[in-house]
Amino acid sequence: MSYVELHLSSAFSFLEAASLPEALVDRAAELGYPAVALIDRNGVHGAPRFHKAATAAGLRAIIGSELTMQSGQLPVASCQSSTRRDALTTDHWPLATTFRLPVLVESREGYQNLCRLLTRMNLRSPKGEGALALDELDGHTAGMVALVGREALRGGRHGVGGLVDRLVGLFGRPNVYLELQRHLIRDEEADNQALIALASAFHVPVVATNGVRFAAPEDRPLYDVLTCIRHKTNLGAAGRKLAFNAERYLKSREQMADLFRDIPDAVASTAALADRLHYTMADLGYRFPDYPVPAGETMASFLRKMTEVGARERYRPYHDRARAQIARELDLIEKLNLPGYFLIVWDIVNFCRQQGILAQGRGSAANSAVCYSLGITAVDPVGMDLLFERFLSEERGEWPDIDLDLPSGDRRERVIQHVYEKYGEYGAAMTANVITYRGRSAARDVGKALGIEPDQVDRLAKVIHHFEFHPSAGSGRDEPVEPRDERETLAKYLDEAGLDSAEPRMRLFAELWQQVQDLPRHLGQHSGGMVICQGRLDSVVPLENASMPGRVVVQWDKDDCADMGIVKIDLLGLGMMAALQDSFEMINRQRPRTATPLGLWNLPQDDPGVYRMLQAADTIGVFQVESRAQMATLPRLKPEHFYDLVVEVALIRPGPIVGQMVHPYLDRRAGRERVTYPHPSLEPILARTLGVPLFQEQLLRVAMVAAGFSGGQADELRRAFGFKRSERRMKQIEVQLREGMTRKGITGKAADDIVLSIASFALYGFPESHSASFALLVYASVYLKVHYPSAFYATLLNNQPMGFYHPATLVKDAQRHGVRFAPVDVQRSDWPCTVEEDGTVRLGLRYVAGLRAQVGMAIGRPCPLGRPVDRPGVPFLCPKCRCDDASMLEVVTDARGASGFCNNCAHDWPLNGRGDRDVDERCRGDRPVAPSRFRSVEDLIARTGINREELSVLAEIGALNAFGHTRREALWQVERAIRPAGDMFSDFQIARSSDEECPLPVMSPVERLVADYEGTGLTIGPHPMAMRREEMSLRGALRASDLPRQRHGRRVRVAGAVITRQRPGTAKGFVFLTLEDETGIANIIIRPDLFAEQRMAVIHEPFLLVEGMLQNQEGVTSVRAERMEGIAGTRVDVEARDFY
Amino acid sequence: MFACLFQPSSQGSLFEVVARAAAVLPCHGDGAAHDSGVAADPIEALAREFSPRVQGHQPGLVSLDIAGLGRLLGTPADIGGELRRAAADRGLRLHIALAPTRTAAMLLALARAGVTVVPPGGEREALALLPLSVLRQLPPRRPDARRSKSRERQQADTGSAVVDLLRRWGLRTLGDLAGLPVRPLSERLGQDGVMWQRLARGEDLQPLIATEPDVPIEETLDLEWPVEGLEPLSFVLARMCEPLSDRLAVLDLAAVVLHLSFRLVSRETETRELQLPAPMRDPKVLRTLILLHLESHPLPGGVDRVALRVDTAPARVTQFSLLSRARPFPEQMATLLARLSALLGDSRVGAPALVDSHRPGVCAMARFPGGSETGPASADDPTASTREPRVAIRRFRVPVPARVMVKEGRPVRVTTERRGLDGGVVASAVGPWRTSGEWWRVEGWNRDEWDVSLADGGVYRVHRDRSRDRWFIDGIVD
Repeated sequence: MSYVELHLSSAFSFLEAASLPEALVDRAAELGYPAVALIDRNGVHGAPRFHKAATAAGLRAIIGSELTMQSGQLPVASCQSSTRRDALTTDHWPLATTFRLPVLVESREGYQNLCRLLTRMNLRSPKGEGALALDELDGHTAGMVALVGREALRGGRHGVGGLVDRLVGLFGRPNVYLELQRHLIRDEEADNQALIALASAFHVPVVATNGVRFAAPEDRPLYDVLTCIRHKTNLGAAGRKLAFNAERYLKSREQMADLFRDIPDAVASTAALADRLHYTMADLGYRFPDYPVPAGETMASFLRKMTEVGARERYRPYHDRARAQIARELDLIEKLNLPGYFLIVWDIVNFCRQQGILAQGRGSAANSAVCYSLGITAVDPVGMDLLFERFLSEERGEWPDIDLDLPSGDRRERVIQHVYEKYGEYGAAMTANVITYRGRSAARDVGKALGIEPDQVDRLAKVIHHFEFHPSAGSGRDEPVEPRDERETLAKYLDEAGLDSAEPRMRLFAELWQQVQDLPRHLGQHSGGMVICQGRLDSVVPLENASMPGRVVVQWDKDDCADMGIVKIDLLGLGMMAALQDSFEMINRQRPRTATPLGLWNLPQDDPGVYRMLQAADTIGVFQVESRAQMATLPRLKPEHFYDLVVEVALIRPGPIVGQMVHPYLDRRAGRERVTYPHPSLEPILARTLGVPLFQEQLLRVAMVAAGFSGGQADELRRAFGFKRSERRMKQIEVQLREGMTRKGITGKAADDIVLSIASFALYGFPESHSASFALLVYASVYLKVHYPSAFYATLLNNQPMGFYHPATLVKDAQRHGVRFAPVDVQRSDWPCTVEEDGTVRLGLRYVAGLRAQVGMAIGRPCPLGRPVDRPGVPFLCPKCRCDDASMLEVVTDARGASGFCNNCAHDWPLNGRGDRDVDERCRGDRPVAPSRFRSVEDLIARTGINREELSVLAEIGALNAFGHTRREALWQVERAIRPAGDMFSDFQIARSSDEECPLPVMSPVERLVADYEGTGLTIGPHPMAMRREEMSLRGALRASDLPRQRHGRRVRVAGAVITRQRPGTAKGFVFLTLEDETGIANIIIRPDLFAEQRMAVIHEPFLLVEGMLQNQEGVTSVRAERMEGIAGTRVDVEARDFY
Repeated sequence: MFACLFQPSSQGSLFEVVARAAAVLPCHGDGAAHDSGVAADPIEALAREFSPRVQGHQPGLVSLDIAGLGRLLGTPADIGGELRRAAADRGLRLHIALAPTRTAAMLLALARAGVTVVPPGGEREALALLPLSVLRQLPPRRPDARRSKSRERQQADTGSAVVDLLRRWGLRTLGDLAGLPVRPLSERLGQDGVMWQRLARGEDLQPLIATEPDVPIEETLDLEWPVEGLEPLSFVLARMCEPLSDRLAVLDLAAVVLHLSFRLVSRETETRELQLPAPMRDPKVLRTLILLHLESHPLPGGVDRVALRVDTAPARVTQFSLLSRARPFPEQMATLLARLSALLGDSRVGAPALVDSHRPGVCAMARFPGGSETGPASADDPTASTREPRVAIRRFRVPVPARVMVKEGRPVRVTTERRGLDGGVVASAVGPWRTSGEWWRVEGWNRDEWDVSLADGGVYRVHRDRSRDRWFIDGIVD
């Protein structure tokens, strides 16, 4: 038996095959194959995993791909062009049809040719629609072998024998095989006989394959389901799109030999061909680019010099510890031949600096003093005693990983495009992100494929959405978390959702849902990983277009790139970085020119105001520590130093929470619990975190010390900490851990604790250096909130969406911190929010619902005309809140006469009193006169192209009040102004006066509030609860600010707008709500049974009245809900942010 | 003076209302309701009992002109009371409004329960407190809007948009809208705005346009003595179909469904319904179709009364194509199919249909396409001639169970109990051809097929059901 399977397709053919490369390799190893070939469609997406698994299993992994070919003639112009800008679609191929040409790689040259052909095909066409013409293979077939099957018989397309003839001409006779497949299909056999005759006529050999699409026969249902998903149909309607039978599985060598016993040459030639195909993925030919250095310098010497310069700047004084650490690091960098890598990252950071783009290294790079000296990272690893080996070690033998945080949006895009430009069109690309089936997406697609009704599919998807927690896992924090039994969980939730888990279709759904987990669905783009290459990257890995214009991705994800030794630099976007940079720019513009510009690097350290705010958990809007869980921890942890922030950031993560590390750490920190260690040998590792492992580095070192893990095993453990594939790998590692600990004499509870700690990190935990980088951003954001709140909140609002809270909540929080807001005003607002000279934050036009960006920017474009339009008779000072913003004050005329209304505090007062006139007169002169932009509404329309709906929204939110109108008056004027008068009357229309009396009623306070929320999503006026306060007080509801002063255990009522709902996977079914009223926020805890009872109220009611027991401990206040009800009659639609 | 009757939807669906009203309408025997010429809408029927000038706007909303009714019934309040009583007698609880203008009556009926009477000149005041949203419920303005659904939708959208805008302006009632100054309103909302304001003031924009009731097209014939058999019935049907066709011709309509009702000598009534493949009104064809139907579905006894009613549709206009061969007329095709059905039974007439499945032997039968649909490819289809000749297999519609002896995985002997199939030693066998599918259903299949030639020269297709491990003969190869 010499059969070798040369035509495997894995799930990386995206919905065209049903088994992962690892499953195919496992099966092949079981069946005793010496080698197998993976031929995925239009790419080598699965090749790294296939290669890695095969190497581990002792198999030889042969690589190839099924190329999509067009049988028509390619237009000459398109043939000559190979750039990605020349998009080629099927429109260019009149009357053409496609077929697949499997090719196998024989040598590195062949692999490079394959990658380039795939790149050419994919870059010029929309995603998934690429194809090659046969002519394009000319000159690019060296080192490749083509297999041609039944397509050769399509005389209508290629002429009789035409395709074989063409391929022999292109590949050479020894490199063309006619492929025979037998799936026990009647029509196939006649074709096989014809192919044998054709092979004989052209003197080319035949080769048997099975065209494998799944590993075992029992995978056929999943394959059919994937077929349905691909064709957007369901099993009932798919008909002949489904597989004929289940024969496309990986058969044993004996079965295949028996199947082709009448054509022994076809079997024999598989082994002969496999022997020829000696190329493996270990020979990629990738090289990281060299950094161009000045004459007389080497990269190593240049790096030393740059580091020296940077270190003297950063370390003041440049002390011996830093000097020694840097020297040690540089020696290792030089030894590992990595200076070029550091210089290239330094070059990117330099570009950011020159362009005024804030950049900060995160992740393990923060462990390096060289990175700190080069300005790549902002945290001093020497000062913080961070572990350099986590970043770079000789033993690990792989490239270090430097991640750069950049401001999200345009600035990050500029950096990415800079890298593209610098390393050429084919020299740089983003890493891919393989989108795999997960709970919800799997439920949707499998449900549709099974023909389940759409509403049931929706329910299924929602049910799956809540799978994150396991209800049988107990409710007490000290109870161990039971292992998940997904099948049991699924059945339970199906029943809960009103779906019968015993029904055959639902049982089938449950089985298929589980099988489809982790299968790739399509290729996405990694959030920021870029790979660069010396020479052409498309010779190393095929490139293809991302969905986003201007982006190109490689066909491998970051793990595959790392496995293949391809260096990745992460350019990640952070909204907070953008907000911080905007804040610093805004602040520095207002500081004296002689003052040192404020920046991330030179913030005053250990500012007491920062830690006061943190200890009070006053952290809405702050980076990372604004979530409910973080806010509940801050008063307990009581951060006093920067390292406390590093701990705080790492502490509230699923890893430490599930690993039950949070409470022990807090108890030990508060002195309520003695500091102990699972084993005395672990004391040096865990001492700085009071015996509780919190960081990845600690866990790795624990594994090395307690279980005797080698560097390689520890590295495997580190990679298992990643998001994907982690739980499965962690289970394998757990066995090794226990064996290792038993050898070292660590058993029983100590061993269990260590395993739990390590296994929990599979659910996500932070490395210490990463936490330190984030802690710096926490510190910076709190510093700005304390000292420059106007700039901080304005830039937060400008960089939404980000963070935990809706802009409406941020505005109210800002107002509680004394920040004054001014409404949107077409005469003064810009597109973004701005800070005016007196520190007032002027809302930007970007918050106007439905306003097009180009119109908003046209309005905001500075074009002052002179003095603003006066508003006769408008008072400029509210007697209650002293608001003097004319845009916030309105004259209301009704039956009682004229009165003033303040939009800031909802106060109204009569305007007939003498005092008010005095105030009015006194304040009028104090108000600075700002230049206005538009003479009238008509002028605004003529110069900006604004449409009626946009104008109406502006009128309703009071943005046109500056023209001397109330909101309703403006609405009244707008309707006339926007109607086209025609050419004849156009001049007349401009000239029409707007002093005509408006017959519309003035908006009531509630109407103003509703208009604010509908028009901008927020209000700078009174909080909706302020208008219901009297009623709420009668119902016994306390204000949020009253709660901290109440006795622990007291029954209370509290009412507010629901601003967040949270049901974290680690909380065992508990739901956490945050209610907001005019005084602050109140945290509500809902038991799972209460949630089940009042699910609709919790999920859908925008305003809630909650009754329950007050918990007031260690400075953390929350209400344990016992009863809830929606507050009827509230017309405002407050948007909550839900987190699950 | 106008009255408006409105049936709010909270009193049940229109079908429930119709059913309830039908139950209390005076009954004059079979089809009496149709004989009396009353409309299908019970509210419209009620209105027609009070006035000949009735306009139905939409299901459940009717206006009627009550001018002159005062001499018969008294004051408008008395008329309203009479209307209310009559409605109550029919189990209807209506909103009734009487006003000098039709618009005012309609708006009040839409908004208020019970009977509302507005004195002359009091429309605006009566409407002032009604909410603006009532404008959304007004029916389309144009009486012919039924023929233009897009225009109707457009008008409804405009109305909805105007009401939304007025609410944004802070207006809440019709009085608020009525009080706006006309010229500024016109400057802002154009003539549409003025129109909505006039409606809010209760002004009529159109006169009442009385509509005629829908009279069913039907014929009934009472026979002097009962007839039995098709031949005498043929004459009866000819007498009924001809005048009915004449009426259809006058109205330029055609029949699409025939409703037949036969009163038997046993005093039972037998009803039949014939769906016609295309609108038609040729009396001979109609008679032939009825007779063929009765031939295949005979009546159980003698008949002494025959009623024939038709559902109508616009008459067919035939445009022949210059590019394709003319197809048979639907009348001819329908007659032919009816004859075949009479001969073979309904379930055995149709066209073979392809089934998108790998399941061997699966087949389906579909109805013949109607005259307007594309028929099967004609015999002179150029692609048809290029098809390869295939070996024919005569399939048993139900596979014949067989006993098959297997040696080294291949069948070597086939025997069966079926007469005419002798079976015997397998001379040669080709296979297996494996198919499986519908694994998600109980009736899924998983089978291996073999083509076997037996020693007697017969060639059979046999298969093994792999899930049950049983053998069957599928058919004989010619």
